[in-house]
Amino acid sequence: MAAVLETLETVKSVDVDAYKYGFVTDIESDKAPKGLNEDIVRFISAKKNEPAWLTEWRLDAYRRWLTMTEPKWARVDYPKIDYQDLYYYSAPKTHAGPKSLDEVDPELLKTYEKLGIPLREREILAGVQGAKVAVDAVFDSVSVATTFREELSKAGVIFCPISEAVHSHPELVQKYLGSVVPVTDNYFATLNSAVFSDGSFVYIPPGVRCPMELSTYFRINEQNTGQFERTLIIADKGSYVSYLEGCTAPKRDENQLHAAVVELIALDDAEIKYSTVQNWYPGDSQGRGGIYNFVTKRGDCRGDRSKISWTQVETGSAITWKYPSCILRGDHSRGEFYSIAISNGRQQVDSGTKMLHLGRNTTSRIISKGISAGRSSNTYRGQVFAHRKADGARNFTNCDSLLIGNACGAHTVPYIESRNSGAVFEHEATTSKISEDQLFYCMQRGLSAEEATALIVNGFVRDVLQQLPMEFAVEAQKLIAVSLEGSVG
Amino acid sequence: MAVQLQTVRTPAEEAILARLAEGGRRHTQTREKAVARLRANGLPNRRVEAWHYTDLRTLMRDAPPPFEAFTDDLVAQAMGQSAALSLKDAAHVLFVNGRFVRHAGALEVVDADTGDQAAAGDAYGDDGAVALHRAFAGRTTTLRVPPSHRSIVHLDFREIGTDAFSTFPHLVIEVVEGADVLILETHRGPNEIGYQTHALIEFHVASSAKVEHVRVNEAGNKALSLSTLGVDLAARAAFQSFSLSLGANVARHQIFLRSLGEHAKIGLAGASLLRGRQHADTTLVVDHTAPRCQSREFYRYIVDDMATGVFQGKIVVAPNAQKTDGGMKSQTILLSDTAAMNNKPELEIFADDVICGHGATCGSLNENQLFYAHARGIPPAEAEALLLEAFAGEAVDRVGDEQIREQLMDKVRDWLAQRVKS
Amino acid sequence: MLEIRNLHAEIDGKKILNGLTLTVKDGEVAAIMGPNGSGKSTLSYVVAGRSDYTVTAGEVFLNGENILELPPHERAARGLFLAFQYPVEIPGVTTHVFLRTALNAQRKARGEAELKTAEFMKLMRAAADKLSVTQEMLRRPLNVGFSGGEKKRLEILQMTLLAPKFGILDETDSGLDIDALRVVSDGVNDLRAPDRGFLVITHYQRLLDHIKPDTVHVMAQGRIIKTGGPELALELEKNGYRDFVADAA
Repeated sequence: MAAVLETLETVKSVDVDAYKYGFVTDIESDKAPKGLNEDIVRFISAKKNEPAWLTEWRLDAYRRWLTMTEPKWARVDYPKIDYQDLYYYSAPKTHAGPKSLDEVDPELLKTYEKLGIPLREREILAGVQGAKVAVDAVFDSVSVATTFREELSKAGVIFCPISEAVHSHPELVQKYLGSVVPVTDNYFATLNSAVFSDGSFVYIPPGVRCPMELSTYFRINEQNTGQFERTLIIADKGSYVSYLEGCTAPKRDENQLHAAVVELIALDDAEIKYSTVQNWYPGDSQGRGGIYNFVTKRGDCRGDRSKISWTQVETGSAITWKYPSCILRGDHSRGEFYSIAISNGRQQVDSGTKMLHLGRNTTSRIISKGISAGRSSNTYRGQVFAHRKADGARNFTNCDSLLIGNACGAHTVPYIESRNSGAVFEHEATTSKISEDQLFYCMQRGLSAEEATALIVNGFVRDVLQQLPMEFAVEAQKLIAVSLEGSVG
Repeated sequence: MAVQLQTVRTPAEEAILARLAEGGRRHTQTREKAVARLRANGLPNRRVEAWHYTDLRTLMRDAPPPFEAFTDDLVAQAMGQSAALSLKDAAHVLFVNGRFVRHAGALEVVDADTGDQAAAGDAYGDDGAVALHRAFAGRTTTLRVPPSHRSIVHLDFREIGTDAFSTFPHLVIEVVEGADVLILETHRGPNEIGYQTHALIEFHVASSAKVEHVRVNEAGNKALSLSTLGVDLAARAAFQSFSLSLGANVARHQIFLRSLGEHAKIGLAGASLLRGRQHADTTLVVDHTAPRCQSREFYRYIVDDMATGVFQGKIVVAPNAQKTDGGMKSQTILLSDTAAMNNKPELEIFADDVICGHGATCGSLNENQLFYAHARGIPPAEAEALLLEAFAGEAVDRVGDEQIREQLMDKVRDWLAQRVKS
Repeated sequence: MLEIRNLHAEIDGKKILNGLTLTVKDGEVAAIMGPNGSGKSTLSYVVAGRSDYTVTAGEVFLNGENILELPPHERAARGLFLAFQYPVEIPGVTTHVFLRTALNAQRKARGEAELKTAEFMKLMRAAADKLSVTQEMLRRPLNVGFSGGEKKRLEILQMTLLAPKFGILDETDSGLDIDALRVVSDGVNDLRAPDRGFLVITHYQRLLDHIKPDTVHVMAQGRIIKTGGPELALELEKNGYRDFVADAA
């Protein structure tokens, strides 16, 4: 048991303070005053020059929000959030929108460099031709650089900030916004609806296979700025799109609230693949200052034979409250959820998915790998539901948890609800630790305890890593090793 | 700014609170606490996580008065009826309408009007059904199982009457060090009467003692049956419990089990056969608080017509309970498109050196197996019955006592035969 | 050279090694034979540094350096290799990824340059061919679903790639059919070199027909009770351990 003792020793000295991406970019902001009221909501809407219907939509959400209370059912514990002590709007002051990258603040470009954004993507940002990933960089609430718009528009793909789509494609925004996550869905989604800052809008026309992976880097940058991203992706009949989202955030002393909403709509025969690597600041070794991440992500397989696949690698944030879900409405539609959630230090994760089988012969698959280390708490919470009409529904769920050290917790809370005798659900879950045998074997072959742990953990999460696009998978693998640094001796 | 929602009390809640206001019950700390809980929270409902799938605010339409009219006639009448199960050589302990009546056989039984004295720090004091029980329970029946040879006990609960009533039996079963006991607990009552039973049975199992418990619920078709089993296990104790759920309109059987010493061995199993509009819930909390304990849970449901099955099983492993080995499985066959199953197997793990897992499946009968049986000339209805009997039988097999096992299988077959007929 | 002096070790308070002394010189192949429970596997674990064993006395020198204070991976980097009796499964980690990771970790620890993927693949393929390890096996997760023979061949493949200064083979013959035994033995014999010693732990003489030892030690009750040449193994095969063990007691 000496190795376990060693592990404990090191866990105690975990240096989460050495957060790799902790730095602050100094860009002047145009802020709204602190606090939230109808005037602030109107101010945000006016700043964006929004049409009246959207202002009303926001105000309606705000009024509903006032009647709601924060959900308490998740296994997370955090000090009470003072919603009047947050800023709800901030935007880089510079220009209305840079026409070329030369106009982009060099600080921002430097930031991307520090973030370790793959060179190819930096090239794109620098305007180099031939690269194939489009980056719509969301920098502190307002998109400041969008590339490859032209090539995408040749294919008929619309990829732009949602604030822009409100003006350029109002009919699409009005039709789909809030159609998957209703305004009153939950406390945080309702708050987002009232004050959402910006985010991506994607529309793939019928029969089009999006010519490149779409990728967005989110950064939380301004002190005390709640981030309320809003993303809307519509894949029209027979289309395909793969969307990548990755985040890191600068170090902070005060908690930062993040309440994003992502809505996906897949029509007949369409497919959306949504991948996330999330590495926000998890707080210091005492758990102070990390991001609070309350996200509502939901996909609607509205059309027959449509497919939505969520893949997430969650390593950051102090609090994670996140359940990317699929509504399987269309017959023969398919939902997938692949997740790696790693918690260390004092992180608290309550994450999972919902697969709601409404249509006939709908299928879903859930593979969740949770790893807890340090003094963290890691909960998988997932619901699988078959409606009376969901004949032939199929679900397979596998949740495995791995514990590293004996000061952490790993929990599995599935809700399996069937209303249909023709639905077949299979669920299995295990909790275990890395065996001493495995560690010793690896160490005998020359790996240090830390390397051995990283290797074994990478093996444990392999089924999920394989779902990520190649460049993301490599990044994610590195991230896993970095996240577990200091968790073993 | 948030608007506080004022919950409107249901008729059952009104009746319960009115009855409590009448007083006339012994004051104990346990009761005061329970009453305060009831007043504050009302009946357990879907907003309470542990009761999400069994909402008593909708399922418990009323709260009939506690049964008080005990007479010699009543006892004689009850004794004239047949028991749900018979067991040779058993010490027979009879309860009529929730009250201990008599016992035969070598066993120490003390029945006293002590009021319910909750043990300090019990694991289920916060539960809504336990609070309801403790608010009304009067007498406590204490059974002491002696050491040495194997004891066999039949706890025979019979309900009789023509008007709705409520019962609140409370048993404490003390199993001393090294004792070995088989306890059969049966419940039977009249159909068409909306009576309600609220039972609390508390087991204190000393070190190296061995308990096999088998429960059969054949409550009447309009009855509401809430049952709580509290179990504390000392080191090296072995506890097995099987439950066959057939009766009652609404049933919830909950087991709160704690392993307090090392090397305790736990085996929980059950079969629930549901039809009509029955609602049956099995809720388990298996709390491993000491190292090196083992638990296995194995539950099977067959749900027909418009019935609803609920299985909630939580395996908890405390920070110091290293080397815990916990495994849980629940499987369901839905026989109709209006049947429903809610399954919530849960792991709550705070120790790292453990092996814990759960599996859950839900579906219909295996088509390949059915086809195979048809191809061999077995008609569809019989083929179904054959496969269902095997399905339930694998749970019943967990019962160690052969005499009981056979009778349980007869009950399973009876249930299936009724299905073929209709 | 491996030198073990008066080694005492225990697990969970139970004494297994009781003053074991043994020297294996460079280029020498020494065999340890002994009945079940004599402490043979414990010896290999203690020398390799498994943490659940406690060394209560004694020293272990690898090429003159006392290695008892070193963690297992540093012993490995100094050239100690243990072929496990029961190779461990690591789900999700493919065999070739594991091999490359291990080799580069050792090279890094010794201050050598890490191997490029192409260089490594060349090395691995050559070694794999010799041991009849297929490319398909190398793509599978390490030891997962491998047969007993496949696992043992893979251990020898690893030894070949890692080119240790000293190899301990713990019951490498267990679970092998005669063909696999030959492949494995050939693999070991190919590695015999003037600057490399081996300690071959086995229960049966059979393996020693293929890997000819220079010396044979008999182990019982946690120490060496008799040392001799290859003829000693034949004697054991004929008469069993009983006489020796009785003498030792």
